[in-house]
Amino acid sequence: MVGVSVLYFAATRDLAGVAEERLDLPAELDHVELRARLAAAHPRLAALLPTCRFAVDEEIVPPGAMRLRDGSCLALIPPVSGG
Amino acid sequence: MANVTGLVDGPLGVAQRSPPLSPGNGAVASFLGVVRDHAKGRGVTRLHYECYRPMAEKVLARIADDARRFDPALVVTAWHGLGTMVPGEVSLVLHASSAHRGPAFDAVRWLLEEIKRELPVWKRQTFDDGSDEWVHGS
Repeated sequence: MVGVSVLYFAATRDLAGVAEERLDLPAELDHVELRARLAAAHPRLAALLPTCRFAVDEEIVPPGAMRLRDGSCLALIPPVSGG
Repeated sequence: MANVTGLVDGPLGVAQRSPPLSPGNGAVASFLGVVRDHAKGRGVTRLHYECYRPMAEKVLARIADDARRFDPALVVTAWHGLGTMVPGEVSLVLHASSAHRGPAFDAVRWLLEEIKRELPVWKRQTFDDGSDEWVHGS
């Protein structure tokens, strides 16, 4: 397991009740497992997680396996609405 | 000329709305995003924009660079406003400057669609009955 900073924005922040927190996550995991772990940490997030993308250290991670290290910054990116 | 991009607090003003001009570029296509007073058939009294700032700054700069697919000499200006805005205020300004009108028009449309698809910015809209909600996807 590695210690990761997790960032929540917009509706995900409201549902998680925090903007940022530290979570211990496996160093290698796929999106399915990540969603399951986030839903376990914040059950109210569960419905929104399938619509979210994830960014690690400010870069969107393509679906599939992702690697995390100690100090990585993982951001939940719900569907964006700029403009 | 280099691209100029950024996310700034508050609605965008005259300075951002004025495109940079250069003698070699005979065409500037501009787009302004204006806060609208209605959505889904309801009255909207204000919008609040937030972003994931370090990522948004990188993504906006990258989108501007990628617009050079329309013209290697294209110059892009892209500003996104943040925070609370009321209807009629300007939340987004895009200028695409090229030697000719074709790439300028094509690039500004493409920039807008990419920003709406990729830029990590979110808006919360407040309706005239006082209720509010996050807009997810637009």
